[in-house]
Amino acid sequence: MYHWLFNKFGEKMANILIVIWYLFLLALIVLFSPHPDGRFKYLAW
Amino acid sequence: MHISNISEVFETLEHSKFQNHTFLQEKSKNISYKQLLNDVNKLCSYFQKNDLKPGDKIILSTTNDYYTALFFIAFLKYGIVTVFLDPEVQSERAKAIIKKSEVNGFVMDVALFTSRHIDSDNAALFHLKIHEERQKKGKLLNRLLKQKKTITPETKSTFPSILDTVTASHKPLIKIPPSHLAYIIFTSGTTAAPKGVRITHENLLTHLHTLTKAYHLDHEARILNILMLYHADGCIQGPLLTLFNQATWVRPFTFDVSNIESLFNAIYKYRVTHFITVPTVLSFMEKFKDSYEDSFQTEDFKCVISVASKLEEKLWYDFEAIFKTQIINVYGLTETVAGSLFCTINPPCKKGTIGLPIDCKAKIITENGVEAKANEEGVLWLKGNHIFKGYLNDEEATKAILQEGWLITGDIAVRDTKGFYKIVGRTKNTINAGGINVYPEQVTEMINTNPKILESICLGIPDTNFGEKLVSAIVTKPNITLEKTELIAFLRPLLEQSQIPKDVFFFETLPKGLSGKIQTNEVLKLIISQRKNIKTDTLNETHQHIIKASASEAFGVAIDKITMMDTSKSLEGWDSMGHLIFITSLEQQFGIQFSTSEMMTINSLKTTEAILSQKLKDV
Amino acid sequence: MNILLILIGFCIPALILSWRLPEKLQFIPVVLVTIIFLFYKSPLSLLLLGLSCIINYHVLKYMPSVTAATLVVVLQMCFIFLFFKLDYAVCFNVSQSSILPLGLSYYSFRQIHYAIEAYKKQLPKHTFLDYVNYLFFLPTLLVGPINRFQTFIKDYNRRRWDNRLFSMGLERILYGLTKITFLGNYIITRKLNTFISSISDDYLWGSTYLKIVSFFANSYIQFSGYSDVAIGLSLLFGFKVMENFNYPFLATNIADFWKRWHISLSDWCKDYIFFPFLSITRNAKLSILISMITLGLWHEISIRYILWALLHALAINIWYKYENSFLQKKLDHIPLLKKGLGIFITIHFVMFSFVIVSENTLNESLEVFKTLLVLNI
Repeated sequence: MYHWLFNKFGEKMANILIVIWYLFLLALIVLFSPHPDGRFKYLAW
Repeated sequence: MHISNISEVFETLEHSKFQNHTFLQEKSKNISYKQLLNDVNKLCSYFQKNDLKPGDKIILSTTNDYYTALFFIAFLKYGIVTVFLDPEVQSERAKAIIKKSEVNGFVMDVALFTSRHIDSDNAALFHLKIHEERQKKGKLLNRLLKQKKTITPETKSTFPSILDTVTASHKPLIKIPPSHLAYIIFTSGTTAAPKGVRITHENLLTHLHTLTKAYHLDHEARILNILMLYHADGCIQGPLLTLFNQATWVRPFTFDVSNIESLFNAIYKYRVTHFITVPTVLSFMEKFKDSYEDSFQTEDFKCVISVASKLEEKLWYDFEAIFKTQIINVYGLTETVAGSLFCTINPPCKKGTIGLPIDCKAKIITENGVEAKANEEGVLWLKGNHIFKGYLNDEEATKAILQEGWLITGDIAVRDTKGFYKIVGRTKNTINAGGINVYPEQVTEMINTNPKILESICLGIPDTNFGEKLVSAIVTKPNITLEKTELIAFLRPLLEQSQIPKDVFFFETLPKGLSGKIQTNEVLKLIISQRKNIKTDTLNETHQHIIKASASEAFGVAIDKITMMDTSKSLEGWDSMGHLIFITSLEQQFGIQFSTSEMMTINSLKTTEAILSQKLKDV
Repeated sequence: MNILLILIGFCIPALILSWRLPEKLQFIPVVLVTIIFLFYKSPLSLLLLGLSCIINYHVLKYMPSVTAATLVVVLQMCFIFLFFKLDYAVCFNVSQSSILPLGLSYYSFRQIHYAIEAYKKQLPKHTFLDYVNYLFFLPTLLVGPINRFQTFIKDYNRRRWDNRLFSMGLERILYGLTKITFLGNYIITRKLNTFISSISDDYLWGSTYLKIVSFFANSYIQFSGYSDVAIGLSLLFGFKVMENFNYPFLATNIADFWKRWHISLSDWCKDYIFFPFLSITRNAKLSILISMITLGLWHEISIRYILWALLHALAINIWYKYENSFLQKKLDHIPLLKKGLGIFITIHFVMFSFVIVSENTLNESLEVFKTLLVLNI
């Protein structure tokens, strides 16, 4: 991901964008973690 | 930064921001530059206290790597001439070296004082015994109980305990002039008459600049050098080159075939940038590469540097192809500090050659005594500020090798039209077995002292792993039998490990010339014919071709795209179905049957070849 | 989600200690934390893993015949595996529920791998402690991958702090968690499934089709998400564990699919089922069949998984027959169509085959097939 951003926007922009991207993902995780678990049955435990 | 005096190395270090930088990385211990500097300064005060003077010659002989480096560096700073004496050297030769070098003192392991019969009560000479610190068990407990280090009278006067008794002095040291001797390494000559190579501070510093330039070193370099420290490639291209660049010397272990895996792992683990080694080690790595092919693919690694003996072209290409890395090939002698000609990566040189001279001049002199034209063979001569100042107390030998400032290397070379040099042979009678020079005369001399032997000769024969190996041809006295093992047992106390013949051949007589001298070339022919009768175990070309053809058919890859280096990972079509076709095709063509475990083990063309050759032998 | 957070929580102290302690002691906290985790979550599993680990290592090391030792280990692991898979554990009151001891599917296969590699004499020099480290490695204990011993030891021996690896690991965990919570749990399980059940019966075919797409997508996203977390955690510890998924929905044929889906298991079956059977029988079709059945039964021991395996084995054999056919060669001239068609057929075959195992009974699966093939009107 970072490499793609780096090549597209240069180092400075890539640094900012990657942080935003990670924060966005974190937000998604926190926001949606209370939802029911649709786990694939054969994860084997 | 141009350093022309050794004192400048230490001055820059004193004011360096890299003091906490690691100088030596050992397996579980680091030595920082701060500690090195502190130890060096303490040693210098100790030398002052003991009235040592610049120019004094002192024997250095210890198995501890850090101590070897430390004393060498401290001696350089103080102006003492280090006389390297390999702790492994047998006592006969050690005695001869000590006598020849007229030393002013000894710094050796305690055990060596006894085994070499050095009288440490002789007040005229300086003595310092190195007493390796024993593994201190219960260190934590000691600390908890606040026990002081127990110093027995035995260890009190030995190194490193003596470091606690001195403080680093700030008394200025004498500035060492460039013409001053830096060290002496004994290389060639017979056991009775060893030859000591004298290197000055100027030689050394000039060459450290050259090496730095050729390898592109700086303070970020992490040099993996596990070569023996009592050879120039170990001590110069290890600790000294590291110190000169304020880089890091990585030496977690010494080389041994059984720890080849650790060697692969070390590249990544210790973030190695430059790996200085000999072709034999490269050849072993090539052999045991399985699943370690990615070892050199780290962010840090820059290049492999091959020193000390000829790097075979095939090994060179294979190694670079397998590990996807590059090799710098270095040509040099102990007499030229370390290198002279370099086949560098940047700028690129022609592979298979020794490249170009850096910071020195080279010429090729033909048999007729004139300079050779391009592609004409002749002896390689070298000239530069790094060329040694002659052998210790040996005018005759010096005259034979140094003429009007030119060093006659004794190696036969050619220069191509682009100016690249290539070594094609040698005039001196030496054997280079895995980077170590062995002088067959020394060995013959010792073998002939055996009362059961009538006459003998030692020579080198080609060897796939070591380049060359030492063998001896022997004629025993009439009606006397001598076992190979008996002879080896006889030689052990007399010779170094590298000088023990790897094979012994017995003959009725040895071919002699008109002068009565044994003819080396004729003996060589006899040995090779005797060996041929014993074994031929390599698969010939046609077998390799059948393997490749079967692979091509089974995996659907053009045959010219397949090499013996290919594995199930590198060949696109090598899946479970292709595997079956490949195996059955080989079984049909060779009329054999692979077992389950063999079928499961085959995962590359090399393993296929190995298993196949084993099977064919059994049939 | 719950167990995953606990897993990550347990890893944190082990992680810190493993990078701060002197080199010799670095792996002790990892093993200890794994033991505590298992003790807390499944003491039975801890007992099984602990005992089998000790027995297997020593049997392989000290038994004079390697073949016999390998057989002992393999049979022992198979016995334990089947004992729990076949629900005998409940019958004999060893376990209260029919849920397997935590991680058993993975560590039993790892130990069989180790035994067979010992038989092949392909194991590097190592100690008992190395074997313990390999088996008691928390990140991959629960959800695989069934990583290999050789690569583990190699990584272990050259382990050092590496910024790049560590940040790669953090990123991987983030991606894995996003896949599980957002894509899997929210988008598919909640949104898509609600949407599917809201579709009126007039569009039965459409809703049935969407249902199987959703089942496949969820399986992939959840499983690969869990694998991402496992691989990411391993990276934090300095280990590059093998990948388990490689964009399986882009597979151009069924053989290719099995090189991209649950790679560690299909590789395991290839190395330890397919090749041995191949060398004994010299029959590729049969060997593929046996491998696929093993692969199926790994999930669950039942008729439907055998059916599912048969279907895949058949498909792989058909593919190998077809691969060099005239039609396929013709298609070479239109590579884009060939690729597109390949992907389309493969993914649909896989999704349809999942119907057999996604429904509760075989009858229900049959109904789904009827709907899809428009046979029930």
